[in-house]
Amino acid sequence: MHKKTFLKIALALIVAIGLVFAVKALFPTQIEVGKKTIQITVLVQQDDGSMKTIFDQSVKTDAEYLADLLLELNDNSVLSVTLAGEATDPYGRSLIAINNIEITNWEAGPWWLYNSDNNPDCVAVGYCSGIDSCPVYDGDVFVFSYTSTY
Amino acid sequence: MRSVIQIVIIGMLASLTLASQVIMSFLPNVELVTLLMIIYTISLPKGNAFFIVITFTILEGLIWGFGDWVFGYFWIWSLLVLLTVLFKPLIKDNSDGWAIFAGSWGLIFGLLFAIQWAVLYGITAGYAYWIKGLLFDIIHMVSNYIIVLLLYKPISKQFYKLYDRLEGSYGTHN
Repeated sequence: MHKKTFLKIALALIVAIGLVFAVKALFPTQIEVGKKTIQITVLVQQDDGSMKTIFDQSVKTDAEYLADLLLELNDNSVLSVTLAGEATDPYGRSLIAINNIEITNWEAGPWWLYNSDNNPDCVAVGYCSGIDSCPVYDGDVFVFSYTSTY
Repeated sequence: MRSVIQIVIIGMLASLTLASQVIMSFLPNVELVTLLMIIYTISLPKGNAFFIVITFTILEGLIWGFGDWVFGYFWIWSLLVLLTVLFKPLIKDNSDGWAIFAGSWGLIFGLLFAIQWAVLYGITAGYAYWIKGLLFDIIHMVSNYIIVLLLYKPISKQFYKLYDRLEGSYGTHN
């Protein structure tokens, strides 16, 4: 690679890093810390298509992100949760099982889907982002559904 | 009326663009689509790049599933073609110029989707969508810049050569 091209790329990277810092400074993520109360509902689709509630509880947590909350519930034996991948993956970890109900067919489902009607981030964009990038706020209600319909 | 060979070229290039997108989909917002669309717009007879955008977007929908984003792809990639046509007399064959153009495109890509989001779901949703994707827009900007800086010359050169050979063999003009 020519030295000039290398310099241009280095300059572009410096500009990008500068922009990242600018974005972080202008739009900081407002994560709530301290005790939060989160309502968790877990639904499993039955053979006749109906949804059966297998878990419906309010939990207290200090978790900042949904993935942290799920792992906390797993550690406290409230729910058995299995995640796949790494938090550093481009889209974070994936939820693959709750209470040993596991996604076995990634093509056709059923999959573990989740939504919230009152989490500000989910409401703002119309869907909840990955569990590692979905902040949890006091009073959030999350519904996890094991379903092949979305 | 487009000749059969032109229709074949449109289909082939749309598939090539799709393949490049799918292969690189594990890297968020790193893509060759911008580079390829710029080269198609510069090199192919007028209007063909728009047909490639339409075919590419339909193929994307078949691979990833149809949603409101597909509608966004139709007009956003078409806008890139239009902007390329407008900037072509200014930038000419300068890879630095096209790299800056592609980098700027990467930076505003999320904003353009946010505009559609605002129209469909309200200004707050559009604003939140844009802010949430800003870091990915920066990745898109820098990756587009580097890709076009490094690949514009070699790929466009080969593309012109192959297209000239094809014109010689079949005559692809309207």
